[in-house]
Amino acid sequence: MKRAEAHASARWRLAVARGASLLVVLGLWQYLGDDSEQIRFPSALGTLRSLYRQLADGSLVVALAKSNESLLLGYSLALLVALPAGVVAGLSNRTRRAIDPFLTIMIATPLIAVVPVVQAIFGLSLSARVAIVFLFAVGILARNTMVGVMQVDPSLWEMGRSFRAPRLAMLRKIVFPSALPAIMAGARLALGQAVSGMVVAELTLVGFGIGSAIEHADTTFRTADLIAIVLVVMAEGVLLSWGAGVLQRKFEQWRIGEPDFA
Amino acid sequence: MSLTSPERSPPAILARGVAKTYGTPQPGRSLSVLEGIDFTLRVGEFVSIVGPSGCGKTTLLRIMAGLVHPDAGRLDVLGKAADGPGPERAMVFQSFALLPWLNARENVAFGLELRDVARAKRLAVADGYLRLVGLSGFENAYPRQLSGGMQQRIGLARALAVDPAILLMDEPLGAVDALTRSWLQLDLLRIWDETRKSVVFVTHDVGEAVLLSDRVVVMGTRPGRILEEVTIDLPRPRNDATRELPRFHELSTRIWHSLKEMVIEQPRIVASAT
Repeated sequence: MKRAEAHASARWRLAVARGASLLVVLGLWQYLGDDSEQIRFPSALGTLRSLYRQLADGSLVVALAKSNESLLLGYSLALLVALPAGVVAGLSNRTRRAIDPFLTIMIATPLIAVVPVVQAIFGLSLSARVAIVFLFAVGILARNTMVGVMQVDPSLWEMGRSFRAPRLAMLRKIVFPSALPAIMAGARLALGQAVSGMVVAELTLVGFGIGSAIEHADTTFRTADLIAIVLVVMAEGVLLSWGAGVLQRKFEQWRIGEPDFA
Repeated sequence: MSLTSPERSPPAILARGVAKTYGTPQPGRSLSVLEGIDFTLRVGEFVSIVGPSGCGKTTLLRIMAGLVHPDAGRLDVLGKAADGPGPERAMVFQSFALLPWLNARENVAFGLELRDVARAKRLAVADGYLRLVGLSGFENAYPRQLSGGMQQRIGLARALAVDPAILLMDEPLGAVDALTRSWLQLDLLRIWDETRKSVVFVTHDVGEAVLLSDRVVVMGTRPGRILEEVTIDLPRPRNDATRELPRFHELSTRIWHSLKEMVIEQPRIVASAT
């Protein structure tokens, strides 16, 4: 009971510390901001008002929904391609040697440099934006899956073989669960990359949802609107990362080794 | 004991002229791991293989398990030529090879799961074998929550759960501490008494080999080969007191001496080779 109380008070202290630091930042922002003209850097409350207005009139929600189309499609496509490719590359030396240089290029290149090439191929269509999200996410996803599969404990392979596990059962019951934590970590990182890809596509190719909202606010010198939109994009990134983290921990419960003698 | 095994039925394992060579990074050079191995495991017999590191004892066991292909020679299991793993053999691994995301019961049932035994049935079987290895009450524990000794009990139960005729054990007690080890040795004696499997047991611990076995095969290095076979004529059932018998010490000393010669012999062979 005492331990639980100590635990609760520690959590409370943490919440207070976090709240205090947030208040300090917001206070400074409010103090330094200047709402007298649209073009100036707005105060915290000014930004909040703009955020509320854009949310209330629905424009930001619509923009967000439009933009996320490319995120959803591009990221799903990346999963669809990277998972099988990563598993195969993790299992076969030959495939790994063939694929790995491309993965290295994808991960090491600043992918924003590839955007003109994508534009040359797909124009300014939805496909172009999907392709960019895909490119941002696919490398890290495939590499993590590959490494996860390669790191399967060799003695588990032998165990499976000694029980004459069929190939498919081996993959399903030994390889995939072993690699799952690495795959989940990759999926989480790739999701952050995909959000970047979504925004990059709209700012460099063509403004569609969020991108056109940002452009509009930018060209009309509405700094408060601009910051409000950026905050929303940040919030989406954080929320998605948090959701992926929750999912990741759920799949990793056995790693934490919580006692469970129920 | 050899007296109890019927001489006319085929041996559990029969290896003749088994050889294995591994390639080295240098082209044209290869390393002979095993050469001309003749080995017989009679039905119901417990045979240990002892030898210094690098004598190929684990490779020999893996050949018997069907995990490694010999380059030469033949392997018969229960009178039939064996190519690859078979349902009549089960292996216990030095590193336990448990699935960390499954609890003890599910791990023990894993071999049966791969054989498509229904879940309720295989979990019931698993509980029985967990009891046999002394892990009742830990059915829902995950490997990470258990000590090395307990994890290996799960590994042993998993191998036994598929009811194999032959148990192949690769230094199963190599990764547990000395105290747990001698405790587990006594448990192995009891479990072998209850199940009477044919066992090949790889170890580098001479005392362990003598305590557990009907016969000890001593292997030497470069190339890996069988130096001698020692019949362990200690009475069964054996227990902790068996370690105190003069005969136990005689046999241990004898095996230890042939191993020692091997270890002393090594540098001379290396010198003549260079």
